[in-house]
Amino acid sequence: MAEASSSITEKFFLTLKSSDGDEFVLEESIAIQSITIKNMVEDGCSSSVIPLSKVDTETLIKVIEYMKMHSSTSSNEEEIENFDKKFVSNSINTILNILEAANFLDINNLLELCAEAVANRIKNKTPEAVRKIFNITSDFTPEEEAEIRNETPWAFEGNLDHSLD
Amino acid sequence: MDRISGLPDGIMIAILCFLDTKTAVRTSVLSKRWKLVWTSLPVLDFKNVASYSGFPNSQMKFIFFVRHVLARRCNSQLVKLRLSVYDMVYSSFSKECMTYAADHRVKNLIISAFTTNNPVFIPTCLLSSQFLEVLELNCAIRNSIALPKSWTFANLKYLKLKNFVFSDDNFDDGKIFSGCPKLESVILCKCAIRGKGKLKELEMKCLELKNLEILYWRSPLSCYEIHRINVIAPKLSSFVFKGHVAKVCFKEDLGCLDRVCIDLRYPKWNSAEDRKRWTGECFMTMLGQFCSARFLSLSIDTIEDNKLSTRGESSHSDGRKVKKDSNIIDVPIHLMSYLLEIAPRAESLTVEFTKESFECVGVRSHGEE
Repeated sequence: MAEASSSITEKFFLTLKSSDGDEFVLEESIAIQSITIKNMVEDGCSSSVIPLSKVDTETLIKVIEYMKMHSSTSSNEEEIENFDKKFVSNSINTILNILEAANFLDINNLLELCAEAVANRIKNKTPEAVRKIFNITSDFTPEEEAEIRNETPWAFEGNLDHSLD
Repeated sequence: MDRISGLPDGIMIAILCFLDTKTAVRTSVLSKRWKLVWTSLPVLDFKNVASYSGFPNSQMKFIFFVRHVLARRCNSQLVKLRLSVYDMVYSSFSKECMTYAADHRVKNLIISAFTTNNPVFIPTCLLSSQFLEVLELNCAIRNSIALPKSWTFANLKYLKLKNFVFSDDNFDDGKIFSGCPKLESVILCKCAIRGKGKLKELEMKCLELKNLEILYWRSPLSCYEIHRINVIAPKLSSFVFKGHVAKVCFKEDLGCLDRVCIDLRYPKWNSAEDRKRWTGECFMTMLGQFCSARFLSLSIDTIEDNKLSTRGESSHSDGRKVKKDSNIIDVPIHLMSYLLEIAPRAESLTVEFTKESFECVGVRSHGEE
């Protein structure tokens, strides 16, 4: 009990710096959802500013938003669920940026949330639709592509969705 | 390069892990970057949908695909394998998949089998796996999978069995769970003990068990007094019971019990008055075991029918009021007082309006008015 009350009165803060040079002050208890940051704190490297050279400002704002919502004390289950639903409706490029940041910061829940959101854009789609959605250019010759399809014809059977939603 | 193809392999794999294997393999055609990503996936999820083009052609394609994937993948670790079938699959093939899973130290194995001729025998190499943490076995048709005489899963935490019959042919001593000391969740769905035979009781001695669900128990009704599930689970915190009544006896004090959900199905036909009354009595006996539960959740069917049955009256005109619009139901006074008496620690009583039971009640009350 004594420990719990001291952690309420005495809050520690960390400063995170994005690749664009913007600084964000965040409670330590929220920031250590990132295992990368947690390790830095435990190694005593967090006294000054923590530079996150791989995360731009726009992405870092989103990641902090997520960590605040998911920090254990403040929100209830339903709030979190609604937040997550809205969170993954960000544009696909934003999601991919957050996904990469979550991987770097080692925030497993966020990584899984975004990975699933990306997977949902691939599910049931034809390869042509997936290419358009993610702006992927095929570097196969038609013969090479035909050969891959022939290896596992079953994978390309069934009612696949051509739309780009 | 585009944004997604520029991601490191680890992230691409994390994305593909959320897809069934058919879809994951389909990404191989997107570009050269994608060609082999699927071969490193630690998760396999095979599903064959019911086909109308007929057995065995559609099945041969499915089997060919699965074999191709197993032969081509190069990740020696297999975290999860799911084989869900909604159409006939040869039992030798299901066994082949289980053997592959065991050889690759699978942690999470979900197998449903659909076979009419020979049952699938669980391969010996799997029966003593110390890597398995989650196991779900599902018989699409009864006896599609043959249970062994015993199994030893030192690290199994979650076990779900669907549509199995326990008998002298498999766990003849009834101790299905004795080889699984770390079980935390057990779900038995549509299972039964065979009516004829020596096996009468299952013993569920699971010292770490926290969640137990017994759903739609299928033992013959004539065996109600004889068949029993004896539970020794001192850490049990959640118990869910659905379907027709079955004898579940808790041998230890349920001091950790937090949540109990009961959705009882009563015999519906007119000549079943005796059976209804008897089901009601059994229900009360069952409730009596849950005096330490903090949350008790009863379906509306459970309460509604109990009113009729426990009084030993078969009258249909005893003033049941169920108003569908205003969500009002009558909880019979004797049931209410009984609940208060048996559960001094209870914090709440919930009556569930599941869609199914609601419609049931709606139709019945309409007929009575």
